[in-house]
Amino acid sequence: MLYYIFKRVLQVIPVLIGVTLILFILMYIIPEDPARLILQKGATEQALANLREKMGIDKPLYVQYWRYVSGLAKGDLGTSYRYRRPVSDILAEHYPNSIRLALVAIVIEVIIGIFAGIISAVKKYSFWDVLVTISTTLAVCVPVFWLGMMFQVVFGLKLGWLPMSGMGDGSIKYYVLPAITLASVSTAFVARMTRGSMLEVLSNDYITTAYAKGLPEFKVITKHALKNALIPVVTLIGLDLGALMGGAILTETVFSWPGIGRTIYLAVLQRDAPVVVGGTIVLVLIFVAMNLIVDILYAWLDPRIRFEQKELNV
Amino acid sequence: MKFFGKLKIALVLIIVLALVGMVFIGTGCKAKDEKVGGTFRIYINEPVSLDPPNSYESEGIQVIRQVFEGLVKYDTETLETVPAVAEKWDVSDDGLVYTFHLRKGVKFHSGREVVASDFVYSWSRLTLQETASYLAYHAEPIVGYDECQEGKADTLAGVKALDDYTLEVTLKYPYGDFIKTLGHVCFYPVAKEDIEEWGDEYADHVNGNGPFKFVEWKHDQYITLERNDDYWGDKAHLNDVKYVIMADENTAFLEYKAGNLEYTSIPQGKVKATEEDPKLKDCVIKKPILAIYYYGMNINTEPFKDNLALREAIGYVIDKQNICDVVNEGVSVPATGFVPPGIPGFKENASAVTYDPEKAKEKLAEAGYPNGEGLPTLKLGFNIGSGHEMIAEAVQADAKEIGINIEIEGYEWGAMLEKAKSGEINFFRLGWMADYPTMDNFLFPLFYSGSADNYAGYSNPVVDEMLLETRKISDDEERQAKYREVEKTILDDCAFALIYFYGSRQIVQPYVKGFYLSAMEEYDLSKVWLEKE
Repeated sequence: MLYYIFKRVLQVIPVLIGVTLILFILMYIIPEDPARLILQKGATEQALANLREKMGIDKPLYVQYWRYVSGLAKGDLGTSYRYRRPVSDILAEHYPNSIRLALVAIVIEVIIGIFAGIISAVKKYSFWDVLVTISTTLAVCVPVFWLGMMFQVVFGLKLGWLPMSGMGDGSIKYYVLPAITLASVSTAFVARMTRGSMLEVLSNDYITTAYAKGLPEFKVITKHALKNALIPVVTLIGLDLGALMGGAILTETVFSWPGIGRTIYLAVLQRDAPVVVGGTIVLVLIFVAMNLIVDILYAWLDPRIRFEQKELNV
Repeated sequence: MKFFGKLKIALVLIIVLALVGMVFIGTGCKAKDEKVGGTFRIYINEPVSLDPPNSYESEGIQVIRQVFEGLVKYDTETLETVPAVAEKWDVSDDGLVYTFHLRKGVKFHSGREVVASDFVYSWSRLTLQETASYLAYHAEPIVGYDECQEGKADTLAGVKALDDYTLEVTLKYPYGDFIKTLGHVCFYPVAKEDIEEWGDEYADHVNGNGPFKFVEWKHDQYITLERNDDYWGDKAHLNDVKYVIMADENTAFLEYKAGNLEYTSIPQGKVKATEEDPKLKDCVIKKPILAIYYYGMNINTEPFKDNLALREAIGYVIDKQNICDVVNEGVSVPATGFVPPGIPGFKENASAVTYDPEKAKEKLAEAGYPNGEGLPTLKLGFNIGSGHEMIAEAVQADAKEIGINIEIEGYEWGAMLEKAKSGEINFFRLGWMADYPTMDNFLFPLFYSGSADNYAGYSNPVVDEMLLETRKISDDEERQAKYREVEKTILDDCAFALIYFYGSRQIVQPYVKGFYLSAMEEYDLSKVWLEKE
């Protein structure tokens, strides 16, 4: 297993080189001068040249790329063009907020999504199944920003139960509305996937055998069916953590959540290449780490995967 | 005896009650008479920087205005320049040397006195090549600017501290509006020792000299300020100011409605509804500001070249009032010249070109394109976002009515400016917001041939000569009269289609007193207090 983890970590290096290179090229083929974008007034040739030098964009692309990669090897992610602050500081301010919000959203997604999926599968075609189907369809269809704004108006403005924006003192009440909004679509997907997967597993012979042995329904579902049904669901949830962080632009905007999704999005609009590249590199690392964790969880959930690995190692 | 005992108790009770009553009445009166403090909460976006030479956008500027103070400042109501750190100043007869006499006892928030050498250091830092300031160009009239920009000098030669309280500034050429430019945030003093200590992190450790002290900037969350009790002038009433950083003005507006913000902007599309809301309508601040929205036509390129009638036709065909009413919900007002109302010397209805489709048709025929026949499709460029597309579409529809076909094209802002500068696109959206309340600031940068901000490539030797000569006039009224002539000369060329003067759409809580939003969309929070029950 350790060899496997080591191999996976090594695979990150070409991924990072590829990501930085592609992002650099993408950021620089856009026919727009970041210096001119910032220097909106008084943009004399001298002033533009001074600014380009300060931003480090006065050299050819390959020189800039090499300088960036050399810095990266030392843990230096560069300086933001726009804010003139180290990218690592900007990321350190925003990533933890996104991770916390994504984790709360994942908890909601796991608890509600899996529970709704099980109920829906076990009570197939019942009132509960229809309710889950309709709610998940609605959750997928309703635009996230609209849902967020509705939550703000109802629970924040009208009822005054929960804060409408920001992180405040960081207490859990500030997480409730953005986390539910962020989790809405993913919860629906998890519920649907759990339902489909459970239905498939429940139709297997070994489940019939379990019932025939006289095991109670609760035990059959939780011990025999659920564990196998959860394999694709775990993959979805694992990959979702990265997506919830990088893709929470709308939620972060509506709730003024100081997260990384919106920061990268704004950096793209502002052609702030160091923030885009640095933020994406960290996001890639998170995705890779999550993939690794998911693979390990796979091995735990499905013994056959462990056996295959053992056989391979032999 | 019993009776007298009860009487005594009754008398004591009456006296006690009377005293308590007096205290309460006294407190009530006090609350009404005194301007009590509190925390003032304002919505802003994340500022780029709070370091004066790098604060080029309104978010940072509005914070810095409360924390720093320069040699002079603008009166928020009249926009006149009034003394601040400089008590008074003298100007040499040739208009080239300004001697500022600094106020004693003005202190940085760290406790050290602000002296003349702080201005020498700060203005040098503003112009040095290594700073690469976004705002250095404001110091262009000062001797030594070019050398600093080119990296040939490390001090701005034209600025000298004669002693702690006397600052001498020498200009390259006489510039009548120079004093007015010094109210800009880029000329605020910073302490050398702070820059040496914090370097690029100075924006997170700002040490100003204004009525409020910087406390904390939690990025993307809030910026807090507190009253500076050592301020040389009238102390602020408010205890604290909290700038709440939000990404979306709709969310900020909800927070305002919930009573969690004292001041915010009204989201686009909600101005009319807010004005009709009985609870909110009295709190709306809607007024023109010192900013113009217009389209430039490059008169060095076809079909605009040597065709005044065509350019006039475009000016006459645009229904500006409709754009202001429908697209901008009545927030903006049709532009009647280049210089907006509110600028000292502004001329009302400076432009004779107003919406007149019939006249537009006549002019189009005069231009050699009756009903648009033979006129190639014009390409109108605009920068993507902020509703520019809707305005371009309105112009497109108006032009279509008389046979002018316009194709609209969206660009990223920087890309559009580059294309405009190179002449690749010759009809495009432009805008300008005042740096300082002077006519020069709306005419020289936009229409002087050599100006970096002259994106339309407008070049008229007569105008260039007039602009240079007008700058030299020291008398305010005489200079303003001359600027009005310059404006008319430019307007006669019809190289620009004026659209509107921007307006502000803000809202402030009814219990906020002493708040005044200037035509530069700025405010002085030191005069504000909260009258809450």
